Amino acid sequence: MCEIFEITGDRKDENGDAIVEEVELWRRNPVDCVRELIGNPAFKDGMKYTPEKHYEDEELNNRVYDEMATGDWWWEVQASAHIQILIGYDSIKTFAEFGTIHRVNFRLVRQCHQSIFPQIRQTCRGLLVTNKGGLYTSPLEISARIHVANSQSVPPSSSDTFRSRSLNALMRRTVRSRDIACFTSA
Amino acid sequence: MKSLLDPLVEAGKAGIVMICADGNRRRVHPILAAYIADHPEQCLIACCQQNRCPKCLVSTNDLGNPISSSLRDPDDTLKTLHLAADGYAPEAFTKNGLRPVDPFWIDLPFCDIFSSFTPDILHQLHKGVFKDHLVKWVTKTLTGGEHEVDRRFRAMTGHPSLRHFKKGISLVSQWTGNEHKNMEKVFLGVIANAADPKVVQATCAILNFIHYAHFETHTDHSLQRLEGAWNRFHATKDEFIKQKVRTHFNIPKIHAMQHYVHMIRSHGTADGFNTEASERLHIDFAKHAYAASN
Repeated sequence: MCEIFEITGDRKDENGDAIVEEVELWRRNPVDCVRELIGNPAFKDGMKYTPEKHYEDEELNNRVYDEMATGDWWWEVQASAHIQILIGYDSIKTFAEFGTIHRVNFRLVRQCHQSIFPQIRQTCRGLLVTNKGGLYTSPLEISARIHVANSQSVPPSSSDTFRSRSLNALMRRTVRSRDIACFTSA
Repeated sequence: MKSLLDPLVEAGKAGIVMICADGNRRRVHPILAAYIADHPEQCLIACCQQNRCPKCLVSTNDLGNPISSSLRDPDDTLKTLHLAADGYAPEAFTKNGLRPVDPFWIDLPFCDIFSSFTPDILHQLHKGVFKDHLVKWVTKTLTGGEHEVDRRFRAMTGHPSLRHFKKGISLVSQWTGNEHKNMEKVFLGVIANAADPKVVQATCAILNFIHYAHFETHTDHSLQRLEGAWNRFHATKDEFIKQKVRTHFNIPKIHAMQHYVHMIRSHGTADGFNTEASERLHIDFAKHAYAASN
């Protein structure tokens, strides 16, 4: 699309008025660009829909970073977006508290009592229902982290949040918050 | 810029249902994550002076020191800019090195523009740190200066994987990314035994840093090495002052190296944000189009 802008210059014409020039600005709507890119089947295999955490070792000590989806930014921006949603739902305060805990660090999650998990799952499910189609990846981030912290308590249906794959002959552990279905059934 | 990105504001807040490449429909919230620009442009967008860091609040005199300062905060910056626009003279305005610019990112949802500036290997490391600074400093410390460096480049033994600079480097007028990389490969060999051992150490640290920064995959361990190289440079850089080549290291590009580790951890490796690809497209899109026009 093309738009005409009028810009006022700092030079003056012979009457002493500032010179005005019309310029064309050709541009595209960035949302259309995103739509084109995200819907292009050529990128089907390269497209990431959720953030991931990759580890080089079984103990999850040596984190691997390559593409943007493996960095922290994506996790953080979804957490903050998610917390804003939570503020709108006052009834689930425990979960809001937990939401702040899980952002502090990994060890705090590990210290949480095991009995809290069913409750969280419950609230997660409620949240998923109320926010269907919204920014719902964040509860799953918590789920992924809880599963890391306490792998004994992982329900069998969500065992696929752990994925191993080999890359450059290194075994990496990928923690994925990928499957919505695994959560609602948990 | 504001009118260009205007559609993103609504889309980022409410989300837009899009059909994805795998055939599913998803509600998409496009959010500004990375802004690839060179230093002057970064400063313009960050509304800061060009002798300041667009990412953090480090003062001009500390740019060359390995200290960490707090990152710029979008809300605080906007508040200060508003105050300044209303005619007050807030202390933070001068202290944080701001300048009156109307920021385009003011309405973008979940956008922290300062943490969106990505590392730029071509401009910051190759052109900035290596060519404009390191090569010049080291050349000055050598007896014989440019001639000695050229002579040593010419004297390098040939190898299939190395480029041989048969005329030396002082006559190279067009420095491209490839030239830089090829010089970096042999530069340490060129100055070995000619420069002071401490200068060689500092050079080695910088070359290591550039090399590690190129990695397409990083781990916590390799990021430690990247940071280690940066620390080693700061531990050895004083030799340049002793030899009276530099009086200070308060250079934005030297400071920019400090943010690499953090940016790789948050946004992924630096190869994804390298400006080499877009600079290359200048040739196709700008120069060819210009040649085809009248």
